Amino acid sequence: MVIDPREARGVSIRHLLVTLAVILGPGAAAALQPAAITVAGATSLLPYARAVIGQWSRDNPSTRVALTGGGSLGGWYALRLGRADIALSDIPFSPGTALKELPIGKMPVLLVINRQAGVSNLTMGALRRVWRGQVRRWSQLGGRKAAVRLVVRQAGSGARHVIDARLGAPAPDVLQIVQLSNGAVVRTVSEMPGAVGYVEGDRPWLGVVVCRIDGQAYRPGGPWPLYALPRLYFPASAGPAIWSLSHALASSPRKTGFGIVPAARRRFGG
Amino acid sequence: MERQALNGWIERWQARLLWAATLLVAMLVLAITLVLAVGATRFLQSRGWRLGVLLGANWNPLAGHFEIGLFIVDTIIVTALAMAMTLPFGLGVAVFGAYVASSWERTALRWLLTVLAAVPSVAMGWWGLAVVVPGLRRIGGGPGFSLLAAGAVLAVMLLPTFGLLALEVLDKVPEDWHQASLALGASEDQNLLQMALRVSLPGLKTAFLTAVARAMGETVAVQMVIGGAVYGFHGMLGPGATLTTQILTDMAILPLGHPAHGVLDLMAVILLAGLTLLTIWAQRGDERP
Amino acid sequence: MKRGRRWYAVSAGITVVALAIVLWVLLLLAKDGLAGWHWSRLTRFPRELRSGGGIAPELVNTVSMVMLAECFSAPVGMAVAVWLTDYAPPAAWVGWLKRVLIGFQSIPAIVVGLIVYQTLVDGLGWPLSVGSGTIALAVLNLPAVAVLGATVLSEVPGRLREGSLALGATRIQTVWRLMLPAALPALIDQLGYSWARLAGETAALIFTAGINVGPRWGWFQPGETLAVHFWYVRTEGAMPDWRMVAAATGLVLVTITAGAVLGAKLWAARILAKRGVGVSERG
Repeated sequence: MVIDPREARGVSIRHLLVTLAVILGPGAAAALQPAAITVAGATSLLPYARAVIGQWSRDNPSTRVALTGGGSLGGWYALRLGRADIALSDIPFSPGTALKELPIGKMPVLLVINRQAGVSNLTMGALRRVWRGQVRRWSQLGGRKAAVRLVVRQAGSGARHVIDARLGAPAPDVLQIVQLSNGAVVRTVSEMPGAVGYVEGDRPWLGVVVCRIDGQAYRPGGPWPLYALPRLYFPASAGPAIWSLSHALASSPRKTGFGIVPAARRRFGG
Repeated sequence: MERQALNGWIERWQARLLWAATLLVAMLVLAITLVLAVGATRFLQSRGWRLGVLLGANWNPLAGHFEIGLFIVDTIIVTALAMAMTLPFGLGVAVFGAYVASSWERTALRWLLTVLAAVPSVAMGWWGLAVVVPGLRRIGGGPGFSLLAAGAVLAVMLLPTFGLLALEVLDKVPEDWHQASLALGASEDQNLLQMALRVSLPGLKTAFLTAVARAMGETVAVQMVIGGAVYGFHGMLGPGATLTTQILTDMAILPLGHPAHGVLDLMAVILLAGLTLLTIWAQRGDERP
Repeated sequence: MKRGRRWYAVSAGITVVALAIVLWVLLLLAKDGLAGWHWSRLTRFPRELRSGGGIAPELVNTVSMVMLAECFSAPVGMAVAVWLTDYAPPAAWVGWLKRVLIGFQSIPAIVVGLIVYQTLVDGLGWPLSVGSGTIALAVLNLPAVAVLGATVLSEVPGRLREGSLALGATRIQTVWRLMLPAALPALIDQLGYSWARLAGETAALIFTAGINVGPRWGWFQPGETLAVHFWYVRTEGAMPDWRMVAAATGLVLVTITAGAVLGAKLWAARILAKRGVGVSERG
């Protein structure tokens, strides 16, 4: 149950340095005496979780909170095995009756394309055809002659989950280069002529074209077809502290500062 | 007499310390093997011991498909490509260093090879991304990230090590034997091919298998240039994934406690089993001249 | 020139080509690394999203982790080597132990990373840190020290040992006063190579030491090393000057590994020279 380092650092050095210094550094002591509450899960949510936990801890100074990564799946298993109290996830799981699920909001998944493709706008239909292997050259979509090459994330990534759900898994005969983090996808796409890939989160991605979809560029909160839906899980039988922290994580107004768009209004009862 | 007693006491305790260190290392090795074996066994048990099911190419851990056949095949292909490329160069360097070079050339070559053998593999991966991948993309037209790129990067990485080991082996052929062979009328070429290389064969085999072991176990240099594709076989110029790169890829998504975490242990066990076979093979009949 | 030396000429040609290819790697690294080089890189912290970051913590982590790992694994490994050469009974299981250690000498680094991740990080809850990384390096190094140490010790001529024992020296005196000094140059040589190997290790550290650094050094602080930083920056670093940072990191790393190997070799050669043995004899 640790931060998946490849993804963790793609987030922001400031958050990470602070997160890792404060949480993992003295974590030696924390490892020996278990924290009152352990939060684990999706690395894309760590900076946000860190900010919320910091504020929550000031209001609840008697409860110690440990935050670790591990990815959506890792957090889910940590929760199921009793090694975490709250799991953050980009991927939906079925909580059953023993677990509670709270939505956190939504995070955009952006399409990035190599500059030599000559394409900066795609329709969802065209994207599906790319994923199915029906588009082999960008010239078929009004771009240059470069061959289409997919750069995807490994299984277990939240961004991949969204893309696979909306576009379908790529056809087996479509070549896919697998990269291990948002940053690695962008680097590979920027270096490989004709490459197209996807990343989670709205950041200035260097060296690539961030693709408009159906003529729309992504605007925070605007209409966008590819959103990841981060959520959290905790045991239904949990004590008041875990309930309180879960709801703070699900409904904190700070999320917009971290590129998370609040989900449609819903009341979260105590 | 007291001094003698003291000496005896020191002697006994030092021997015990040495024994304790050996025991510690033996336990460590045993523990590593056991942890991996238990994880792999439990995984196989959970799949009902249907080994055949694991040998296909359907790898989708989230959907519960854990067929690792593709990674085994890619590991073998990449290793074979690397060795095929490194063997002639390594042998050439060894022959030059052992029989052709002048004294100062030989010393310089050895020092150079030693330094080059210590160049970290990640530097080779860096070079692969800068030179090999774009080069193959231009020549072959594929994505560049490929089994061939991984093989080429490994070949360059192994060349100094293999060259140095082979040089040491060729150097051990006694000077008398060369004199005798030449005196019997053999040309230098005949002496080299029919005497020196032939009597060095067992040692060269060990050097070769040492290089094979390093090629099989290398992770980062391969990961940087192989493309990580887990769907099907795409030819030498297409991407793939080896056992080592896939362990790196999936270590975070299959955490301890995940029912399929054991598949990583299984991949590690397969790697270790392969290395054990190589070691046994290398040691059999390794009587140097 | 004698007749029938075709293959010798071929080998010379191959050597030139082979060395040219391997040196290509280093020269390209030097060219890219020296472009825009500034000494302040050695003293600054890395920057994630802006240019001009340094590698000071990575440098400290690399040197400290390798040193700590050697401090643990070199004495223990040498103890095993001495036991195997001088104390081991001629039993079948000793032969097996030797064989297993030789096998483990080439254990893939990623497997060591997996084991340490499972036991320390996932099992005991250690953070990705200098500590976990150091343990991984030590585990990686132990079998290598034991096997190479045993090889070096066994090359000390048997008659020296027998002579010493015959003169009434105890076994341990023989080891300390005779075997180890006789093998010292070769041991130093191996130590330099082992330093370089650990400093260049990446796969075993990505999931044990982590890929970020803490604000200060500590056993449980994040422990990214130069090699891991090199890998990370080249494959995904988001700083605008990533090309320069990556190549500069690589250049510093290669300088360290080459320095370790060459330094050890020169030191060993000096000891041999003092004893009146020619440098060329051991290469």
